[in-house]
Amino acid sequence: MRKFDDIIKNKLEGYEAPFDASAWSKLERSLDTVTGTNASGSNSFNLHLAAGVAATIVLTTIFTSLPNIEQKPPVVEDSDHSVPTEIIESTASSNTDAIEFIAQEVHLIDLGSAETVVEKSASNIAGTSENRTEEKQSGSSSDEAENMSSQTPKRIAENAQADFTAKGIQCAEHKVRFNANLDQSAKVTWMFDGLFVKDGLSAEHAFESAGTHEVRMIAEFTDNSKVVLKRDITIYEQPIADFDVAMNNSSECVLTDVILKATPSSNHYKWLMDGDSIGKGQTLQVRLKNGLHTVELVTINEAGCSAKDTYPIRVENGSEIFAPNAFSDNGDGLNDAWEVTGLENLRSFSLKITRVQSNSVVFETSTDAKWDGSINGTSERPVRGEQFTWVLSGTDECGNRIQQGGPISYSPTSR
Amino acid sequence: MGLWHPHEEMQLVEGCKNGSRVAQQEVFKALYRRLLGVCMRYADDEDEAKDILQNGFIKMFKSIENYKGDGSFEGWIKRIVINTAIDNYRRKKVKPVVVDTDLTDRLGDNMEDELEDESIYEQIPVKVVLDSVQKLSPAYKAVFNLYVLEGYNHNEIAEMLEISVGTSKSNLSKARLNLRKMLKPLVDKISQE
Repeated sequence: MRKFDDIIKNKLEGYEAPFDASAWSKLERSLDTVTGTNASGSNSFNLHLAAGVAATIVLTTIFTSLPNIEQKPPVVEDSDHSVPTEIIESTASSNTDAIEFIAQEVHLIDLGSAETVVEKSASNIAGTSENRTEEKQSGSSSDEAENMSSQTPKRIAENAQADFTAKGIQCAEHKVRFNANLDQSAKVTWMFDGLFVKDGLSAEHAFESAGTHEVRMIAEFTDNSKVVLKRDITIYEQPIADFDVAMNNSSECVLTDVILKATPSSNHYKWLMDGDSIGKGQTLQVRLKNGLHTVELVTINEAGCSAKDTYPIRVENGSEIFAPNAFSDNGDGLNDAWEVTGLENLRSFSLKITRVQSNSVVFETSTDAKWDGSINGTSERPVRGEQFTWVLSGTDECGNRIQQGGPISYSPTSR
Repeated sequence: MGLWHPHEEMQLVEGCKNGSRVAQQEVFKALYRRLLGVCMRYADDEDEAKDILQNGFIKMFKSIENYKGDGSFEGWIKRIVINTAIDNYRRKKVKPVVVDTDLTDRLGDNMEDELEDESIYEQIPVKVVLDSVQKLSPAYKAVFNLYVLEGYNHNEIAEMLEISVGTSKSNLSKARLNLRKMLKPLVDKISQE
């Protein structure tokens, strides 16, 4: 393996990715936010700062209040799926059974109150940090600011209408889409928590943690004037979906007891087996027949944030009941009769075969595992391609009630 | 010899410590392509790599007071960027990968048979190798990078990624196999030429 490793290492070690020309400006904006300063380089690099004038007017607008749980859009619960025939019993036990939280869907998110900063950058070289200085003033009471305003022509930012909306799921690690609403053409940059920078009229971002996060939309107009709009978004905690599986097998049992146990929390739990809903609650007991099954746990918390955990489980130890889905009575020794195997592990059973077309029972037994295709014991035979269904009900040696079934196709080849 | 002359490097470090944008930009420009190349190995795609690198640079500039000149400046920055990539991996909350062990074993057997052809991998373009590394699952990718590229041992990797030593070894083995599997069609093509 050493040579393979060395080859890969030699190839990748010196690899240099293409330069992104916009990367520095994004980083610089983040650094401005993180350090709270616009570093001007007063150091050995002997920078000459160009004079720049900026006036800021801070406008505060109260927008709609923070969202609450009741405001979240309703979500349609999973419709009742038919329980797979392999699952004959399920019991749920949890003190959260009665609580049913509803998962969020993508919705228009209420944002916190907005703070708008209109920046009338008069410098035609605005944007280069070495040449720009920012002078922030809160409110419009400053005489200096008023004088400046009367002396200089109005910039686009002063009259522009700027706002943004957010749409998505208000939970950690879920993407939220932000859309700028502007009545003027502008270059838009987004900053999330002062760290993540994205460009464009709309941007997606997934907040990694719950809490209040700052979103900043910076609209830069054609005359270099800017509007910076800050709003907070509340993000709720993402629940954990995790569970353990325990099996209690006996080789005499057709079905295997499987206990599914979710990591305890105050969340609501929903369980699915092979894609079908099977129950709710922190723990769930099901009985499964042999084979590979996919268990899925969905947890939903009070805020409507949901998480999913899917895991395949293989049940191997129980004895198995098997029946083919087709037979032919052409005397070739292969599937000449339809037969269920594994019935020796049942204390008692009842087998019923129904003709699909007429929905009439054509064969019924509690002793024989084989059907030769005769209709109600007469000389009548099925026609080629005719469809039947079988249903087996019984009790295995462990006392499990069994119900299993499936289709049968009559498909004889030429004699 | 590093990227900069020692005197120049000292000035850059001092400039960064003083918050000079010019010094920061100089460091950024000099290291951006190389460090983005590192981040791309840990990320699923270029966008994620750029986010990792940006966070790495922010962390580095914020903590530059801690750089005392022990070891190369470039190496110190690279370690911060790799740690940022590891933090990013941890945040992903990676679920265990369900592996068809039979398939992996069979694949492993086949691959072992082909060891004599390893030099063919030298002819594969670097971008193809990088794309294949990016396609590895996050858990495999992290271990592969830390072991093969950065030279950490399994004990160190286990501690960094909060996994067992056995898992680290197993993930490395599976990463190699998956990488070989992804590169195999091209290897076969090159062999036939």
